[in-house]
Amino acid sequence: MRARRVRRRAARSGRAPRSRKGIKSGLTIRSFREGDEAAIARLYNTAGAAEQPRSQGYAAGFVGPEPLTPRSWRGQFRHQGWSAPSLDADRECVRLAVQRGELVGYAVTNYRYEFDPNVSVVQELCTMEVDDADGVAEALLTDAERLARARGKHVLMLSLSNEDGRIQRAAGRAGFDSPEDGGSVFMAAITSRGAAQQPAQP
Amino acid sequence: MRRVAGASAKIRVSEVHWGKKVSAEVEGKEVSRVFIGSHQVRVGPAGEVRMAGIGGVGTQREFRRRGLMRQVYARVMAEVTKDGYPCSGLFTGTNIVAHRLYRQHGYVDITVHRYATKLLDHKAVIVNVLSGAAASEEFRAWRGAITVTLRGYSPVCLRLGVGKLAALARAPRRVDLSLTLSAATLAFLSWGRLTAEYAEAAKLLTWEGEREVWERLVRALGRTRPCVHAE
Repeated sequence: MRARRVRRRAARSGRAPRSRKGIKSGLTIRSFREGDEAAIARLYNTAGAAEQPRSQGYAAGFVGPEPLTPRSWRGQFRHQGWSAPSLDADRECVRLAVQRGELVGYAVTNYRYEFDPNVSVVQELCTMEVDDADGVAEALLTDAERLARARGKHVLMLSLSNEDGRIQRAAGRAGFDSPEDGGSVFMAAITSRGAAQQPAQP
Repeated sequence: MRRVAGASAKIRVSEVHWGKKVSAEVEGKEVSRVFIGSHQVRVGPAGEVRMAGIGGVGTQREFRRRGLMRQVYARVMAEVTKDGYPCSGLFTGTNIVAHRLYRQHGYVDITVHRYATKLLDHKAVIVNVLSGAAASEEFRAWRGAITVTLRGYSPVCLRLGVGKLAALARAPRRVDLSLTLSAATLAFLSWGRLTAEYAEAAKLLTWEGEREVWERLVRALGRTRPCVHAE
C-alpha cells in the first residue's frame, strides 16, 4: 500500500508526461558501477516495484512491500549461491537504463545459468513509472539479448510475474514465447518454529 | 501393478561445493537426488535470514513411482532442520507431482511466475536437444529425418544416421517424423524439465509420422536426460 501511495503522489505532482519519442531518444543503457546501488534501491522503492515481486530470485516471495536498501540489493549477489550472477566478476550482468541523468530502469541477467551453459536468464527487470515504461523494459530486454548473443548463448529466458502486465507486454514485443501449461511457483516452508523471526548473524 | 517403495534404496548425504546433495542409490547407482544450497533472504522487518534453497530435484525415469523421492525428501527436511535453517524455498512447476510432495512437507505457494523464452539460435537448440538422442542406442543403426517446426521460426530438418546428425535448412523429400511445438516447450525439453511424453499428453507438442519412430525418440530423450529438474 505504501508504494501505491507513493505512485499516486507522483501522478499528482504535475510533472509533464514525457513522450515515447522523448524517452527513447534520450535513453542510454550502461553497465553497473560501484555506487549505483542507492539509485537502484530508490527506483525499486519509489517506482511501485516493491508491490510486485521482482521477476525472479529466491527473495522474491519474501521481500513483499518492504523497502529495498542498497546493502540488501547488493548482498543478493553474494549470498544466493547458484541462482545469482557474479556482479563482482561481471559488471555487465546489471544494466541500467538512464535518461537525462536519471535511472529509469535496470535489468539483472545471469550469464552462468547452472543447468545449461547455453542459457542466459534475465532475473530482474524493474522500470520507473514513466510514460514509456514499456519502451524502457523492451530496450533493456533487447540489450540483454544483444549481450547474450555476444556471449554465444542460444537461449534467453525471463521469468514473468503473473501480475506484471508491463513486463509481459515488453517480453511479447521483444519476441519472447511463453509456455502454455501454467507456471512456475516459488514455494517456501518454515522449518523451525519462530526461527524465521530471528535475523541472521552478520 | 504399482511397485512397492524402494526398500532397498540407500539414502546418502554428500557435500557439494555450494551445499549438500541428498540422493537415493539402488545397487550403487544414484537414481534420485536433491540439492540443498545456502541462501540469505530478507523476511519483512525481521531482516535477513538463512534459507535452504532446493534445486536439481529429480528421479530417473525407470525408478519413479516407487516412493524414492519421498524418502529422499524426508531426509532433506531432516538435514535442513539439523543445519539450523529457519526456512526453505524452491521453484517448481504448478502442474507436476513434485508440487504436491512439497505441500506435504509444509511448503506453501508464495508467488507464481511464467517463464518466457526467446531462442537466439533455434537451430543450435534443436540440434542440442536431438543430438543426444541421435547418439543413443535407439538411433544408432537408423537412418531417417526429423523436421522440427517452432512457432515464429523457420523449420529445421535433421538427418540422423549411424551416429551422425546433420541439420538442414529446408525439408527433405522424405520425413520420418515431423514435430511441431513452441520455443518454450523445446527449451524445457532440452533442460529435462519436461518429458516428451508429458509434452504430447498436454498437447504442447504434436507429431506426424510413424509411431515406432516417435516411440524411439521418446525413449531416447528419456535416456539422454536421466533426471528431471523440478526446480
